[in-house]
Parts: sequence; C-alpha cells; structure tokens
Amino acid sequence: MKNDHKKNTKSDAFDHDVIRDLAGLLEETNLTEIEIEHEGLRVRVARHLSPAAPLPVVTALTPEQLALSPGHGSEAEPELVQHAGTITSPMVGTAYLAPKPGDPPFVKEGDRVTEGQTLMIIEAMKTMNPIPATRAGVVLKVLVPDGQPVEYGEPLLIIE
Amino acid sequence: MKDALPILPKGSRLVFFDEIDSTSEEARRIGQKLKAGDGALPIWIWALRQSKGRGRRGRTWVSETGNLFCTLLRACDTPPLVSAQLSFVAALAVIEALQESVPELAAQPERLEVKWPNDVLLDRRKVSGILLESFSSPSMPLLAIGIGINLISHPSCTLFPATDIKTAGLREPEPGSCLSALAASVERWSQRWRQEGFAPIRRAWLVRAAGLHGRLSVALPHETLEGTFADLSENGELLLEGEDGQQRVIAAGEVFFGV
Repeated sequence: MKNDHKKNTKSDAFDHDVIRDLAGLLEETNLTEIEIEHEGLRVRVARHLSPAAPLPVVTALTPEQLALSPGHGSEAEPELVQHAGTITSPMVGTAYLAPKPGDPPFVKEGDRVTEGQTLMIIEAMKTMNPIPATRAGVVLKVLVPDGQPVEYGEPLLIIE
Repeated sequence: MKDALPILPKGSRLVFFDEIDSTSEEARRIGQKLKAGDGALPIWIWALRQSKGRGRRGRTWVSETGNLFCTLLRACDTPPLVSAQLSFVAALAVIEALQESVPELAAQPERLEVKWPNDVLLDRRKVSGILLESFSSPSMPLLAIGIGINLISHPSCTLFPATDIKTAGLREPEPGSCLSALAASVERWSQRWRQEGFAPIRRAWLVRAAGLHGRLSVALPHETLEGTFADLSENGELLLEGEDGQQRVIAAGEVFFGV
C-alpha cells in the first residue's frame, strides 16, 4: 500500500513555534480565533469558548393537542402503523429516546415538533444516527421503548 | 516537538486546540456554521486535552495530555446503513496508523486486533475508541468520526480492560505524528471503500477480528446475549449463534470475550 503522506516534505508542516506565536497573538489581540493558510495547509488557532448548545423545543400542550393523544391503548396500534406521519427506522439498530441515559427524552407524546427536529437516535455499528421529524406536527405516539433493538423499516413514532 | 503539527492529506483542513471540551462537540459547532459549497471538508479537529471527552451513550472519555484526541468531520452523502460502514474503515485506519507510528507493532501486527465493531485492542486490551455521530447542518448532512488513541495513559476500572502504547512497553509516538499517520490511513481506506464498497473492508476487518468463532457475551441496554461469534454480516452486523443454532443479528451492543 502506498504511503502518500510520506511524500510530503517537512516544509508542508508548520512548526510548533508558529502555533505558539499564533496562540500568543490571540492573547494579545483578544481575538477568539486566527486562521492562516500556508502551502495548502490551513490552520486555525482558537480559544476555547463555551458551547452554545441548542435547546430542545418543548411546547406546552393545548387542550386541542391533548385531544389528539391516543387514549385507547393497544387496539389502535395496527391502524397507527399505517399512518402517513409514521417515521420508520432507516436501519437495523438500537433506538434511544434520550441523548444519554438519565436525560429527558428528545420528545414525548403530545409534544409539538418542527421539521428536522431530532426525535430519537438509532445506534448501529457505533454510529449514532439522529432520526429527524420529516414534517412539523404533534407527536401522536412513540412506538418503541428506550434501548429497544429495531428492524429496518420498523415504525418508530407517529407525527400527526 | 510536542506540539508539532501533523501533515494531512491534500485538501484537508486542521483545527487545533490546546484544550477543548470535546473534538466531536467542536465538529458539531463547526458543522452548524458550514455553508454549502464552501469546499472546506474534510476537517480534522485535534486537541492536546479534552475537558469533556465523551464515549458511547454519555460515558466519559478520560482525556489526559499525551494521548490522541481527534475528530474527522466529513460530508455524509450515503444512507445511514452505508455510512455506518465507516466505523470499520476507521478501526482499520487506527490499526494501520499504530503499525506505522510504533515500530514494534509493525513487526508484531498480531498484537493489534479489533473488537466488534471498532474498538482497537492491543494485547487484548482497549487502546482506542471510535464513536461516529451523524447530524444535519443547515447546508448538508455530516458525519463526525471521533477517535481517541491511548498513547501514554489509560483509564483504570473500565468495564473492558484498557491499555496504552507506553504501558504495553512500546515506544509511544507524539500525538501529532500519530495523527499524520491516522489521517493518511483514513484517507486510503475511505478511498478503497468508495471505490470497492464494503467487501474489502469486511475482509480486512475479519482478519483482525478478536474472538471470531469464539464465545462472546454482548451487553444490550436491557439484556445480555451469549453465543458464538459466527461472522460479520454483509452490512457489518455481528452474527451471534446461540445454543439452539439460531443466529441473531446484532447492530449495537458491547462485546465481552470468553463467557
């Protein structure tokens, strides 16, 4: 197998003094980041900023929305699986309803969701895949429990 | 030369930090700001230390200076089932990078194995962890491949025993030079995957598979399965054969040997 990276000469790399100089410059200038380009290699030196994590969208329920929540248990399920707002699993994996154990779930039944909002995560082969809402609406039913193995095409959740 | 910068494949960008919360969190932040067609991918994000390094399902990844912490942010233009194959691409790249940057391992390649799906083992102890996360930016779907390699230290009291290059009695490379080898290796294996698909990746992975045809237990969120590690499926799932001869297809879980 070829070792392409070894063809590069040392001159392609910045030496660490350059980084230190840049880091010093950051301190002096109060900038949060500096980016420089040198022979095709671009380097950004940045200060650590506290991340602005996006907050989950949680909306209080109106009585109208609550009326949409299914209250009639399992006999309604076969029908729900056929629902046009059914989100199915794109792969075999394990479904997680919360970002990590102990966290509140991404969504609950009755929540209003926006298109693209993460509804759950499917893990397969150590890859975490967020499942987005394909349309805006109200979560009518969550069809899988947390930590449940799911099949390809298995209904996960219904948005009304 | 502790902070010497890595040499990356042409067209890659490097974002470097002395310290960051987590390189994969930074990948997410960078991803959210990317604009379509700005040609800035792939990006390697590298930090000497992480204050909030993380593993699977919210676990902490101990991130002391001297080990390698990096994340590759790349476009994700394939369906999830296919993108997940990069898990195996990354594991093979870590093995190859370690063989290139640790001379003793080039001479004794059998000391490096992979535990399904992508934990690289040295002498049957975990030396590297890889976690992939797909997400959407306003402009495109992205995949962050977070890779940690224990070069000079490892955590104690882990569920599966851990090690590092130095503890294993080997000469540890600088994180930067290890990243150079890793980035080149990821590039080579990704190219192979793009051109030839998963088959050659699967074959190369099986050669390195720890515990193949042996007894395993697999911890799932609500149960633990036991059986024989029969094979790797065409998609990368673990095929576990039970006492009854039935094969179970496992896509997520934590593997332990010799039950």
